[in-house]
Amino acid sequence: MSGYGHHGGSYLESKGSFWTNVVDWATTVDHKKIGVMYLFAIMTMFFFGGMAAIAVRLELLEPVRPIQDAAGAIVGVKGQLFGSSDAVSLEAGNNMYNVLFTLHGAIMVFMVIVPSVPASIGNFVLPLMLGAKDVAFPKLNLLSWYIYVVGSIFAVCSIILGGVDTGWTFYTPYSSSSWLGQPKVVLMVLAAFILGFSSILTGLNFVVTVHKLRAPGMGWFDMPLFVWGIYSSAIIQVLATPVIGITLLLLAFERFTRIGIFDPALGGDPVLFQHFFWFYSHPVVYVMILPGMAIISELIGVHAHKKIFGYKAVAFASLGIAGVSFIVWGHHMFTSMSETASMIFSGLTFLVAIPTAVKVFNWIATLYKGSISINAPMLYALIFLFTFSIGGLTGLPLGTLSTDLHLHDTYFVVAHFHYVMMGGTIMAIIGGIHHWWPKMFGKTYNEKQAMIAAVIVFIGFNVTFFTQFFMGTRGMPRRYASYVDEMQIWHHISTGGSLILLVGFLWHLFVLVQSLVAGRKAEKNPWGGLTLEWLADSPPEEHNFPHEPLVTHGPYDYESAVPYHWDPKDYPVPAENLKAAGAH
Amino acid sequence: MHTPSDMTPLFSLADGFWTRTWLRHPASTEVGRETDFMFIWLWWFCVIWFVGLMILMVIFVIKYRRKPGTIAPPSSSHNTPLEIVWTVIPSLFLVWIFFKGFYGYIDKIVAPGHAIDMNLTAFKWGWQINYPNGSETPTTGRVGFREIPVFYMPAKTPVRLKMQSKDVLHAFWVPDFRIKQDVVPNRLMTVWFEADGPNEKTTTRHEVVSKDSPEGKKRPDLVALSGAAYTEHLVFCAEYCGTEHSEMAAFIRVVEPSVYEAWHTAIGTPSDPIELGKRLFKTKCASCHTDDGSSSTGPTWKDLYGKTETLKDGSQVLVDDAYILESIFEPGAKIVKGYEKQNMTSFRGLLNPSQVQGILEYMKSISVHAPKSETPTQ
Amino acid sequence: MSTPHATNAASPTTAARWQRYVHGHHWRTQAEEFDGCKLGFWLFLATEVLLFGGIFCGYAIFRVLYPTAWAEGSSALDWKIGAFNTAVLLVSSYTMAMSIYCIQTNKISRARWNLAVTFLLGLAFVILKLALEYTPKWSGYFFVLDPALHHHESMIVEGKTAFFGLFQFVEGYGGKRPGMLFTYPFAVDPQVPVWWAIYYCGTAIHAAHVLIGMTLIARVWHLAGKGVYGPTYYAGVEITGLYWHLVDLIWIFLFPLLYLIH
Ligand code: HEA
Ligand code: HEA
Ligand code: HEC
Ligand code: CUA
Ligand SMILES: [Cu+2]
Repeated sequence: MSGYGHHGGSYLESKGSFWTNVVDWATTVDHKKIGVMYLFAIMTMFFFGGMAAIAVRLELLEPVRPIQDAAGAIVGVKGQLFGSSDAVSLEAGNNMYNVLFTLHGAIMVFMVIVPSVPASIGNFVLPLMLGAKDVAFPKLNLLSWYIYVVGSIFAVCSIILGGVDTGWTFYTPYSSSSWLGQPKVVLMVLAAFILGFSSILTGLNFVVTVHKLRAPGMGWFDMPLFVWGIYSSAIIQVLATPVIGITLLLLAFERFTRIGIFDPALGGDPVLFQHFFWFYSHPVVYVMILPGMAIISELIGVHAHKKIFGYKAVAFASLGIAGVSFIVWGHHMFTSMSETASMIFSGLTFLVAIPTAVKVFNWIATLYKGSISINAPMLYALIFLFTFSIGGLTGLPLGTLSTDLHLHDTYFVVAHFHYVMMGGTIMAIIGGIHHWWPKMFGKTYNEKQAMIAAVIVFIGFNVTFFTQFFMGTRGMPRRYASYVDEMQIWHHISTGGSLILLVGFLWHLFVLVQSLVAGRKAEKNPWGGLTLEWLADSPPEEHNFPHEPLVTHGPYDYESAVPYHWDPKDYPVPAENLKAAGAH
Repeated sequence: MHTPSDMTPLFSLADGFWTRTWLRHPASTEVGRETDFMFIWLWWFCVIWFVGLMILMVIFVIKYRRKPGTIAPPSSSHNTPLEIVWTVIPSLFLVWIFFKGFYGYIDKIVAPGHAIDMNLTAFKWGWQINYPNGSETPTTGRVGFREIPVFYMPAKTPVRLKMQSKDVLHAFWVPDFRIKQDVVPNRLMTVWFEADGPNEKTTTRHEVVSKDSPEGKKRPDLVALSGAAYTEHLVFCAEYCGTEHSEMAAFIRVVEPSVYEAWHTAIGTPSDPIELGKRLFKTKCASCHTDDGSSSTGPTWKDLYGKTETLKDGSQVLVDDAYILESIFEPGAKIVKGYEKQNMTSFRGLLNPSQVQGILEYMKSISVHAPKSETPTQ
Repeated sequence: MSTPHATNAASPTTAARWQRYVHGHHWRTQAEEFDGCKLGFWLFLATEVLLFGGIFCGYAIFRVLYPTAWAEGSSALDWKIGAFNTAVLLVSSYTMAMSIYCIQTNKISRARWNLAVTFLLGLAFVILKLALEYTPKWSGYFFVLDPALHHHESMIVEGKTAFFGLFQFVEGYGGKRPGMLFTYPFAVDPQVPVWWAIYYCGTAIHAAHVLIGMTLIARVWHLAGKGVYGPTYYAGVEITGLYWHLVDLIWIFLFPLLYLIH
């Protein structure tokens, strides 16, 4: 019961000299600071992962072909960005390519997108939304961040030692016998294991926070949908991550001691590895998307100033997706499983599409008769609806058995998952960053510039990845350093698109840095939101709220409640609401 | 099996512009065309839902954009009948998609009883088929750096491949047939197809090789193919398998069954062992060895036989039959100096005695150190 | 079990540390904090169960695939050692539970004795595991008191001993160490190495958990000595206890699966 009453300064306030501040941040248990630290760590990794992606795209500009002299003898290699120019063999260049896409996939999955929303925005916003002073276990929260950093360092070490070329899926027996010596694969595998730990601890923290630290008056169905989404994905994090933990541990054991569990040369079973791997890695794609959807629910609710259509349906859809996600992993293995297993998993896969479809319908229905303001966050919500729908719908031909036999492990799959991950989660998180930016840093950003950047990203994204659908169906396998000549035109377009993307992201970076340096002071509630974080200062004070907040209205009751810190200029409110709500 | 003729009106949808855009051209197998139908059907399904939703979204955003000073009209925030309808309708569609996809899949997986069996071996990084008479294809084609095998297949005849992998996971994919199957070490995996015959649109013709020409005397298989039409399809490896995953390709050339029969007979072990050895060299060893003295991943075979080789530990060894056999079957046993970093895969179980003999004879024929007198003359 | 009181009445100067305990500022009451900690820890235990779930899954699948290898492998284990170790852990669970009870009833020194015994039993478990199970299997050296030794009396190599004569060498028994495929000279089924893979992974990961549990026990033993825990504040002991019971429980599953079912 302590802590309220004395008005602390903003959490960003300097504590003294530079070093005092460094120590303060490094030892902080404040969820807001930890969230910001995560945000920077994750964006840094996103930058590296993105650069690896650009390198991948540049390498794919040209198919790898021999250079022949007049007599027809092979004298060199063309089309290899990283091969040595005099090498007549493919080895150097191909290995470099394999390392690059593995690096790209592993960074993006384990270090960017899995922790992205929950650990950064979730950490910052979730306790505020619940009206709590912090997450349930603040020290554990800091520990998660350090574990994340240690895991990333492991990954970086394996890269410095020469990199790993197994693909992010680490399929055995390749991963237990690849040309790259043991230490690097084991390091990378342990990195993923450690990052999994961080993920488990964050998830666990959030589940307890949601159960125990809701403000007085906030029932389960008074929680913002953001909280529902984070809660559902936290459950998956807690229940699925240990399985990848044991899998990677066994894989490391296998590499160190040559015992046979997954490697057929030692008597093991590689398909078992696939089962274990996907038992985690399929649910984890919903760990990636549920928080993204959680953000979208907020963005649409707040910027359309309307109650989310079918609130309960959306909340239960989150839980439903979380539940079903545990039983569809086999759809990644249609080409290596029995017919019966394939049939079952295909059927279950379609089941998961239904709650997702329900959510999309609800979001669009929310726009109906709303009061929609178009700004960067809302633009991102709309981009999300566009790109994620494409990504999700292309999941259908993948879940369909007969077509997946053609599409499996082609660029169609690559396009599918970039549409859902990049077009879904990444778009959502960037939207979320803009939405909560004023709250996080107390500064406004340049709305117009941010919207231009969003449009560039949108165009670049579609140019890069829509072409990949065509490549895939027309016969381009994934993880190929080289390809048949007729594919080149598609690769050219795709690479061009990725450069547009790069420009778009740099533009964003510029807008955000500019806001930090020269932005105006932000209002407490710039968008007129009804959830509790808008009650706090921008940026919030150290213990979040001056008084314990009391919840008197639902998170989206625009029809009966008045936004915090209401300014009639910004958000007109019906007169009867004012009368009814009185307070704020 | 649902044949396209059951659903001609719908299927014509799949044979048009969108098939060509999405899939390059219709599949070359019956079951593949079923897949095409399914895919194009799904394409339209997705387009309709997607476009419908996006149109609504754009209309709402424009119509209900915030107007300064005005208040949004009250509207309901849920509607149970509507929510049930939009849950049930997509579900029904999905049930149909599931069953349709499942039947198409079963057609692709279960081979007819009378299919011809062949053995396919996948290895880093190549494919090898042992035809029913035990022989391998003598023909290779070129993609990029790689000399890749050309497999002849009979048209309109079901062929079942029994697949094994020597090392890691690979996957056998023929985009034109719309089939794909992983090849898992220590497991027997199968895949089957029944390809269309060569037709006017896709056909190329083999050169005419007369039986009496010098080429024809050496290569009865070319004589058998002389002037015959074929359709060519690429085979890819679709499961990541390391450095040359993207080079792991092959050609399938589909010819009329009668041509295939003649060819199959003709590739029965050639009479000349040197010819056999040369052929094996081209299909199996040329990715790492050369026969002209130039350098590559492994030591050149030119003038190898009979020479004294220095091993990595500095010891010397005479290259004779025994040493070569060991090198082929247990390549790790003696490593040649300067090649410590490279690995040769073992060919144990992949070469029969007459093939090994052929390789030895071929090596002798290109080596100055080899005792020429021993070469059989009759 | 009584729930801790929400407030502490004792005066700040004379009170023990547990009486002065102040809950985290972001919790409303100490009871709520305690509940939260327990919920969090139960979730953590769920992850541990799932972690071992992977091994049990592997066990089950390979058992179906290679029944004869499983029969052969498990018959090479001595159930008596396993049973003894089970007993050791069961007793330690009892002492662990006792220590929590003692803290709740403010018998701190008895609680510490119980904790110490729990720790020592854990240590005994690990030592038995190493000396009686791993060592002979790796090297062929048997601890002289190992009940399994008399099976191999005829093969004991006289004079070949290690560690001051405490270990005796049995000819032809020692499978190779991990790293060389576990090709036991006396293995018949070609898939037996897979059995050993599962055996070693399962027991080694379990043993690692025993060590972690022991560290936690040592920690609460130390803190209890400083008066940190008492009837109104004992979250640390409770949580350590939960962990220790889980470690125990997993062994209760491993033991019959590995040693008893052939
Ligand atoms: C954020 C991550 C994410 C998400 C949300 C999804 C969502 C889905 N995924 Fe995806 N998937 C991945 C990430 C993700 N996936 C990754 C990373 C891989 C590849 C891994 C690798 O191999 O490296 C993959 C691969 C993958 C495969 C394996 C392909 C193969 O390798 O052969 C399959 C197969 O079934 C599949 C299916 C689906 C389905 C059915 C959904 C569904 O949940 C989608 C549901 C959404 C919709 C349906 C769209 C929205 C709804 C509407 C617009 C309304 C109208 C809809 C209807 C009427 C149905 N995915
Ligand atoms: C979150 C997941 C994620 C994201 C965002 C991306 C983003 C991109 N990916 Fe990714 N990709 C994967 C996950 C992801 N990828 C995975 C899992 C694989 C499979 C790997 C495997 O097979 O093992 C894969 C594989 C893959 C391939 C296939 C390789 C192959 O199979 O051979 C290709 C090829 O084009 C590709 C391209 C790209 C491109 C061009 C981007 C671009 O969108 C990247 C654009 C980003 C930038 C250019 C960074 C710029 C950032 C900044 C400047 C900082 C900005 C800061 C703020 C905005 C605050 N990716
Ligand atoms: C993957 C690449 C690769 C392929 C394919 C390959 N080799 Fe080799 N080979 C090597 C390498 C590398 C060496 C040198 C290292 C060694 O001695 O093992 C070698 C060495 C040899 C030697 C010893 C040469 C010497 O100088 O002493 C012989 C003989 C040989 N290979 C035969 C064959 C035959 C026959 C085939 C095909 C049936 C074949 N190789 C296919 C890589 C290959
Ligand atoms: Cu073989 Cu990829
Ligand atoms: Cu999946």
